[in-house]
Amino acid sequence: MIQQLVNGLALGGLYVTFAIGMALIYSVLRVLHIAHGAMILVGAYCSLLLLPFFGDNLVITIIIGMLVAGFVGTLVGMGVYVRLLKSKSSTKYDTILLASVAILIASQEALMILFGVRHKQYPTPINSLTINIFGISLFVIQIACALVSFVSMFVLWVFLTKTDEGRALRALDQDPQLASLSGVNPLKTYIITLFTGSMLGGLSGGLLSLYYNDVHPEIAFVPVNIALAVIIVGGLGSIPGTIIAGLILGILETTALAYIPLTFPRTLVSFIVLIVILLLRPRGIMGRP
Amino acid sequence: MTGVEAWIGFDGYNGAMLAVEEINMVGGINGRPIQLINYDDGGSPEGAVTVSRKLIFEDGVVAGILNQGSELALASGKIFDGENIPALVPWAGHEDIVKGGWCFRVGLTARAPGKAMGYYAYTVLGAKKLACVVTVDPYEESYAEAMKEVFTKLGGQVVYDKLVEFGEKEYTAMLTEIKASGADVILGPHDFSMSIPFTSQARGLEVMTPIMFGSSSCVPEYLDGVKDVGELGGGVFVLSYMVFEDPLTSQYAEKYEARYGKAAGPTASYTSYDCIKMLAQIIEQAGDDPAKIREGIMALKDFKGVGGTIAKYEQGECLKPIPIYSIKENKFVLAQLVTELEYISPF
Amino acid sequence: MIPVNYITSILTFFSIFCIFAFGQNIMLGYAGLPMLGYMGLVAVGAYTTAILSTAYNLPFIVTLPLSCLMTMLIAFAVGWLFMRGKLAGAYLVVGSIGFNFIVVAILLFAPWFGRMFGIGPIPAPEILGYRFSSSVDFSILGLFFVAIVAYIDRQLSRSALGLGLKALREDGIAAESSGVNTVRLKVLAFILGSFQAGIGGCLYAYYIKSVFPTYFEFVHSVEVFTMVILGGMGTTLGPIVGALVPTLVPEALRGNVPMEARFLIYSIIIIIVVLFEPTGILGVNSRVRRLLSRLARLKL
Repeated sequence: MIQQLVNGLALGGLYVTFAIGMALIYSVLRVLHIAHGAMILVGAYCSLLLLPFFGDNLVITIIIGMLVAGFVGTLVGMGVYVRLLKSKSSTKYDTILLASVAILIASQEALMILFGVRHKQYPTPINSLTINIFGISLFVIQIACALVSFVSMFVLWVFLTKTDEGRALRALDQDPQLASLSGVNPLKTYIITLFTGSMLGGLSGGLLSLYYNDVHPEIAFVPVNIALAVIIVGGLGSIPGTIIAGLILGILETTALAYIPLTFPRTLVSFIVLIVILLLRPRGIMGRP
Repeated sequence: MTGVEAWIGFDGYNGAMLAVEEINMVGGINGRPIQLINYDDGGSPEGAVTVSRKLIFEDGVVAGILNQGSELALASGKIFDGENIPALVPWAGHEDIVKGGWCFRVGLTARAPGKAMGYYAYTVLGAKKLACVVTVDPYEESYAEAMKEVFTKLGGQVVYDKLVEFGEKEYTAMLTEIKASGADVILGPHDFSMSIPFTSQARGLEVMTPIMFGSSSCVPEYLDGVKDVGELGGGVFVLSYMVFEDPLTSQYAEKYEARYGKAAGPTASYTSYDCIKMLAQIIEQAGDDPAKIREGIMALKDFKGVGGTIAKYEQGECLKPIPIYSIKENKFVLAQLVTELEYISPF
Repeated sequence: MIPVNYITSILTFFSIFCIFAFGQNIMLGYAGLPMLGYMGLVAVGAYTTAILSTAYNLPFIVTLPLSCLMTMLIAFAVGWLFMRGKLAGAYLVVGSIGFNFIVVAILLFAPWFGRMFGIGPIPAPEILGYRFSSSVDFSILGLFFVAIVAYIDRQLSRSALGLGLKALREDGIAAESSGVNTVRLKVLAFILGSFQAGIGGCLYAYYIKSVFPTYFEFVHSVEVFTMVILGGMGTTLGPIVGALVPTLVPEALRGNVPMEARFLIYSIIIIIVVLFEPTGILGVNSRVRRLLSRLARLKL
């Protein structure tokens, strides 16, 4: 049914929004940024809690959420990741991974202490707004997510190909040693990457919490898991791959839920696809070998 | 000192203490103050057992109030049964807890609410096809089962039946299927963080049938979450354990808030309060011999508690009328009080 | 009044954590395989014990080795599938998270494993007629197995096989080019690191007297991962020190601090330790280890 297809694509669009940030950070820093979940939370909490200060204007609070997430993400990334990356230890990536998870858990707990354990709602929920074309319903927020994905993809593309910093990013991605030899400043690139990726994370947090009308420290956990699956299936280091993978996983999950008579958790589908891809084509749909 | 009680979680404890204070302020029972002894069971069955034994053997309680969690209450209940001390269960829902003969539920199992909902859906809403989406949770599955049983017995048909994991918020796939199945009533997951997106997504997808939820959605957060959507289409119907408009209940809520500075919270606090009041009433008449207290509980009729009126006790389960609420102008409004014995009985 | 029950209860959990840490250490510390789904393997061991002891009434002497066997089998299957595909680094991490998730999902949704109700109560284990039922009993049993596992670990670490595994961690490419079959070695690391999950899972099931899917979720795998990294990867004492952290820190914080703050402080401790001592408290070059060796030299 076409509605299910649309549902799936829309869900995929949502998945892409939180996976892009993580994909970007991986492609430059080679770090599995599980703490990206913290950016999602920052974005969500800012969008909701700042509303009274800005006249209930959602657009403003979401944008502020994005910026705050960008700053926090950069601080965390530079303070923790870069410092650990400098170590010569062969196990530094495992340590970084642990630190990343610890950061996510710490932020969940901190938010729980600061803002309480009850789920919060937006004062004027807009998550049931839909537009109806030819009998197919599409949620307004889903459209927003799709827009975000396209716009960010476009902006990223322009950035990566047309600007100096962007080219530096790509150079670092391809060959770190050569890049630093030719004068690329890795630190500056890291900062830009972290800021952009975290900003996107914050934005996805705002949209996610709006769509489900739920602000709570644990709303980032499942998205982080899904984002991990998406970036691997799409191919680590490939942004277009991430987008395609997100859409495909969204469609697969929706179809499975709709047509398979058994009962199972939705994310199981993504993880099964993940395992299958890992076994058959580990580099993902568009990853480089 | 008449010694009583056990451990029930914060809201329950607060509720019970409120009752204890009220009673002691007017001189206690038959002139003697009542004492509530509370221990933390640490969340494990072993802890529950240790604490039960302590209360019975070391503290010499005459009656107990059992823990919130079902596995814990099962463990403690067995100890009370074994030692012939009566115990009241304010919240835990597992059927086996009250089978020992000395434990009596003041809350409800999941079955009674489920049956009431099934009855309401078929008879009052006139629905013939039921779609069911609930969490993988023993409690929810239990009342969903009961609802399906009653619904089909009355002549309806279950056209969609799926379970979701706790915290699931994405329902577009299932709702689209439900729409295609022609269901005319839907049972949704009852936790409000799940029921809110469920309702919004349903109405957004133009699924306009009436939707029913269990008691966890009968909270202000749900109303906030579904602001303008709650009255669309066939409406939303939420189960509750208590009739909020009942003066006893609303007075209790006010007293609680005045005393503790926060909302009276979930059913457990109301029913724990009732446990103390019930025991006080019985002890007043029958004295504090545990066996006599037990007889008193079994003979109880039409006890008007803040957590609902207990019509009577049958095999350890209390029979209470069950209220179902709908939403009008962003408030919960009583739609029906189910009193037919057949549909409020947990058996 | 010495709170014997309390202390031995902590001791029991400590020994079970130790055993898990030893297992994860072989995969992560020696072979450098970042596996972030250890509790998935533990679940296999624990549920095997649970099912065999409740449904088939098998005694401890049978359930223990069978749990280890099942765990090793699954580890072999998973390890082989992953290593055959040459998974490493990020891919392995996410793959193992996926493994953990799938295991828990099966336990929760498939009808054969008790779903949310879990399996229980599990009868007390008996060895030669003696029933282990109190915390004291279990702490002794636990420590006994820690000793065994630690001894095996020591022997492994000094053996050619152990050195080979460590070579994998340091420089897989060099190992490969010197003719070592890295795939087989990595799968072996999986198997060798999994029987501890079997032992630990078995003891865990007996002590808690029930098994629920939520005990084995991803967050707990992170705890095991933490123990190995904090304690010192690739060393024999490391897992023991690492296991002390989740045992002592929550207890130390229990009195004065509300529950939410506990996890926060715990995570912050992790971050701080990791920043200052990336290889772990007793890691290969850590300050503590250097201090200890200096002290040892001084004494002599």
